Amino acid sequence: MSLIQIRNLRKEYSPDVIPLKSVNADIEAGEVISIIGPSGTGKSTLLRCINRLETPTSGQIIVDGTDVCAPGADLAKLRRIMGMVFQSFNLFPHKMAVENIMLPQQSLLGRSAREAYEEAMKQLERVGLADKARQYPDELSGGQKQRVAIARALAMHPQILLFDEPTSALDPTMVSEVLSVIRDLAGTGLTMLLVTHEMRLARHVSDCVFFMQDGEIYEEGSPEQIFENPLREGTRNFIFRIRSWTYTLSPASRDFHGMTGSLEKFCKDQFLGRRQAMNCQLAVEELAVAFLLPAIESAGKGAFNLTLFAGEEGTERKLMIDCSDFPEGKKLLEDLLKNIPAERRSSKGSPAAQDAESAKSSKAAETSKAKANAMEAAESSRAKADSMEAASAAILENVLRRLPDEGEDTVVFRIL
Amino acid sequence: MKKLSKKTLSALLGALCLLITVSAVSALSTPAPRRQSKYGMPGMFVTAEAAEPQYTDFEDLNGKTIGLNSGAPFEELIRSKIPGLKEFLYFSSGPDMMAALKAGKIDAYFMNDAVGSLSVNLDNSIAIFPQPLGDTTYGFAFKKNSKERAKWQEAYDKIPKETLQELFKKWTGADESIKTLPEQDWPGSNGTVRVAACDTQMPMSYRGQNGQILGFDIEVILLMAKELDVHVDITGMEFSSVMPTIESGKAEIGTGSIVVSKERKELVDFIEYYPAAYILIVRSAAAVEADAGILSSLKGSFYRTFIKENRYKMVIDGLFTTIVMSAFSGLFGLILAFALIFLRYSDNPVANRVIAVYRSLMSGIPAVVILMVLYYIVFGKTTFPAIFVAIVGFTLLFASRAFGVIWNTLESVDPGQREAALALGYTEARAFREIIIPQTRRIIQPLLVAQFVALVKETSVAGYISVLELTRVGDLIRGRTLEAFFPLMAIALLYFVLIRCLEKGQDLLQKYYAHKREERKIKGVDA
Repeated sequence: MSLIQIRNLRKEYSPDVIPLKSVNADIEAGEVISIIGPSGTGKSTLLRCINRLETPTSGQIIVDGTDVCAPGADLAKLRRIMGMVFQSFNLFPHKMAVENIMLPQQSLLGRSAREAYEEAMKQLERVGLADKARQYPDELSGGQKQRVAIARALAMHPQILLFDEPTSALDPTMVSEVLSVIRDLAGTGLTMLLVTHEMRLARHVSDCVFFMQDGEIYEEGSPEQIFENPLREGTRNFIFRIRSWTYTLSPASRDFHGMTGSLEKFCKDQFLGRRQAMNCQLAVEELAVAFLLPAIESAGKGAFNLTLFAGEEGTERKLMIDCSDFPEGKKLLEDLLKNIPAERRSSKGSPAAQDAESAKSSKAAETSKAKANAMEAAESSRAKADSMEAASAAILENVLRRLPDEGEDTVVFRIL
Repeated sequence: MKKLSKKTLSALLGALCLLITVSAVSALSTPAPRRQSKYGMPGMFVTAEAAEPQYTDFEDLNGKTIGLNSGAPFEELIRSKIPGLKEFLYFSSGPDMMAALKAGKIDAYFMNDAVGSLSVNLDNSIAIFPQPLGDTTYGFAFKKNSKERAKWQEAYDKIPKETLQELFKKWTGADESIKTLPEQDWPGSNGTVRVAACDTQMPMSYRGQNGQILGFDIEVILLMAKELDVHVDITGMEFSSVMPTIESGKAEIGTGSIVVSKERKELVDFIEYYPAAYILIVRSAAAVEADAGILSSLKGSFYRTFIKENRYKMVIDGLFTTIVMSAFSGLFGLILAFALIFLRYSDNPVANRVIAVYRSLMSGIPAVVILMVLYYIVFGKTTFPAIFVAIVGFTLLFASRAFGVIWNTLESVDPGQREAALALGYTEARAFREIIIPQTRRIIQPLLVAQFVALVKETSVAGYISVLELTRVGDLIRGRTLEAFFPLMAIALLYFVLIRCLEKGQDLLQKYYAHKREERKIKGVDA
C-alpha cells in the first residue's frame, strides 16, 4: 500500500474559490515528488491539506494507513511523522538556531537537553551550519534560515518531508545553497513532496512530477516526460510559458523601462550567463528602438509581438517577431534587417568559436550601445534616424543569426 | 535612557524648588497655633482675639464664590441670604476649603460652628463671618425607619446635658493632652455596631495619634454604646461617603459633624445630640505678619506634618497600603488577564462577547466610579474590608488593560509561527503556551510595567471607599495640620520614588534579558 493515498480531495473556501477540485494521487515511501504548475492552482493548499494545516472540504487522505481527514484524527501525532518546510522559514525568533532545533525535540519527543543538542548539532552539520548554531534567526541570511528550518524538521526524524516553495522568499544568490541541501536529502530514502517554482530542482531531484492546473493533478510523470515530452496541451503550454518571455510593442505600450526590466528578470530566472543575458537585451532593445518602434510610429498603428524562448536551462535562445498585427511587417523587417547573417550550420558544431565570436561582438556592442543610448536622448530629432539605424544594425549583426521561418508572418533569430 | 531620566529628575527638582518657594511664602502667613479663648453660648464659640473678617455683611458677598463640602445640601439656605453670589465650589473636606480660601479660589466657605471655629482659632488669616445663617443641631444618622435608632435615642436621653457640655468643651479646647477616648472595656454582649465617620472634621470626628479616629462625636457614641452594652467599629471616610454608606447598610450609624437639615432628614433619621449653627468662614481683614522666619516656620510645619502624634507612621502605613493594593491587583490582574487570553484564544462566541462587554465597561467607566459601584452596590451588603473591594476593582481594571496589551501583541505575531509549531507536532494549546507567548515577552513586559505604573497612581482614588492609602493619608494629615505644603510634597515625592523604583527595576530586567540573550547559553547543555 502506498504511504500516502489521496482520494477525491476537495477544498473550497467559498463557492467561487476552490483551490482543489478533485485530487487523486498515490505516493510511495521514499519517493520524491515535485509539484509544479501556475500560481493559484492549489499546489500549496494540497501540501497543507496533507498535514492538515488546512481542513479539506471532502475526500480522503490516508497517511501510513490512517485517514487524516477523519474526525478525531490525532493531528499532533500525524504531524510528528511529517515535517514541513515553509516559504517564510518560520524559525522561532527568540531562540538561537540550535535551540530552534532542540525545543521541539525536548517538548514533543521527550529528549533530554543533551540528546536534543547532539541531534541538533548533527542536523546543523548536515546542512553546513554547525558554526551558526548559536546565532539568532535575525543574525542569519535567508538561505541560512531556511537551512536551519530544514534541520529543525529533520531532527524530528519524519518519514515524510513537505516543502512549500522553500526558495521563493530567497534572494537569487541564496537559492542554490538551499537547493543543494534539498538535493542531498533526495537521495536518502526520505519521502519528499516539493512545491516549487525552481524547474531545475524539479527536473533533477524528483522521481515524479505532478503538474497541477485548475485544482487538479493535470498530468503526472517522470521529469523527462513532463519537461521534454508533455502529453497534454496544458502542460506543454506551461513548460513553454515558463521558458519564454513575451512583449507586445505597440503605440500604446511605450513603457521601455518596464520592457527591459521584465526581460532582465526573465534572463535571470532562466539562469542565462552574463554574456548571454546581455546579448538578449541588446537584441531586443536595439530592434525595438531603432526599427520596430519607428515603423509603428510612422504607420501610426499596428503592433509587433516579441517572444524570447530559452531552451532548457538556457541552452538555446530564440527570438521570434510575430508581424501578423502589422501589415507588410515581415517584408519591412526583412528589408531593414537584410544584413543579419543567416545561421551557418558549421558554427553550431564549435561552441568555443561561437563564444569567442560573441565575446568580441558583445564588447563592440557595449561601446555601440553607449553611443546608441546617447542618441536615444536625442530621439525627437528624426534627422538622426539614419545614422542611428546604421549603428543599431551593426550591433544586431553581431548578436543575431537568422533562422528559418516558422510561420508566414514570423521572423525568427537565434541570439548568440 | 540615563540622560533622559536625569533630565526628568532635574525638571522635577525645578518644579519642587518652585513649589517650596511658593509654599514657603504661604507658610509665612500660617502662624503658629495660638491659645484658645473661652466659649460663649453652647454651640457657638468665638475667640476673643479673633481677627477681623474681610467681609461683614451679606451684601459684601454678592458676586463672590462660596465653598461647600460636597454632600452638604445648603445651597438654598446660603442663596436665601446672599441672592447675588457668583457660584458654589465643592470640596471633599474642610482643610481643602480652607486652603482654597487662603489661595483666593473662594471668598467664603460654609461650615458648622464647631469645625469652623476651631479652624479660625488655629489660623488667624481666616475669620468667622459675623452674620448668623441659622441654627440647627448636630445629628447621628441612621438608616430611614431603622429599629436601632429608638434604642440609641433612649440611651442618648440618659446622658445628662452637663456631661455633653463638658465633653464639647474638652474637644473644642486647646488642651490636646486630654483629647483621648475611653477604652471600650464593657463586655459588649449585645454585639458590634458599625459607625461610618467622616475623619477630617476636627474636633468632632478626625484621626489623631496613629490614625485612631476620635473627637466629640465619637465619644458621645461611645457613651451610648456603653449604655447599650455594644461595641462600635469605626470606619473613617470622606464626608460625601458617609450618607451612601448608611443607606447601603454598610454601617448602622453615620457621623462626622453632620448638621441636621430638612433635606438630610428625607434621606436618613437622626438622633439630634448637640446644638449647632451654620457659619461662613472668610479671610481676615489683615493677615497677621508671621513672627517666625521661613526656616523655623518650615521646621514647624515639618514637625506638625510628620513628627507630631507619630504621623510619619500613618504615612508609612499609607505607603504600605498603596503598595499592597497595587501589588495584589497587579498580580491577580495579570492572572485574570492570562485566563481571559486563553479563553479568548479558544474563540468561543459567547466568551468573546462577554470579554468584549467587560472590557468596554472597564475602559468606559472611571476607576473611582467602578470602585464606588463595587463598594456600595455589588459588595454593599457584605462585610468585606474596603481594601478587599479596592483590590477586586483594580484587579478588574488592570486585567482589562493587561489583556489589551497582551492580545494586541499576540495578534501581531506572524501566523507562520503557529503553523510551524503545529507542523512540528505541537497541539494548538501547547503551541500557544510554549512558542507564541514566550516570543512576545520582550514586547509585552515593558508595556505591562507601564500599565502597572498607571495602576499604582490610580490607586490614589481608593480613598473614596475609605481605604487609607497614601493620598488619603495626605488628606488626613492636612485635615489635622490645616497645612497643605508638606503633606502634599511628601505624598508626591513618595509616589515619585515608588514609580522610579519600578521603572528602574524594569530597566534592570531588560538589561538582564539582553545580557542573557547575548550570553548565548543553552539551558541544560552549558554549565
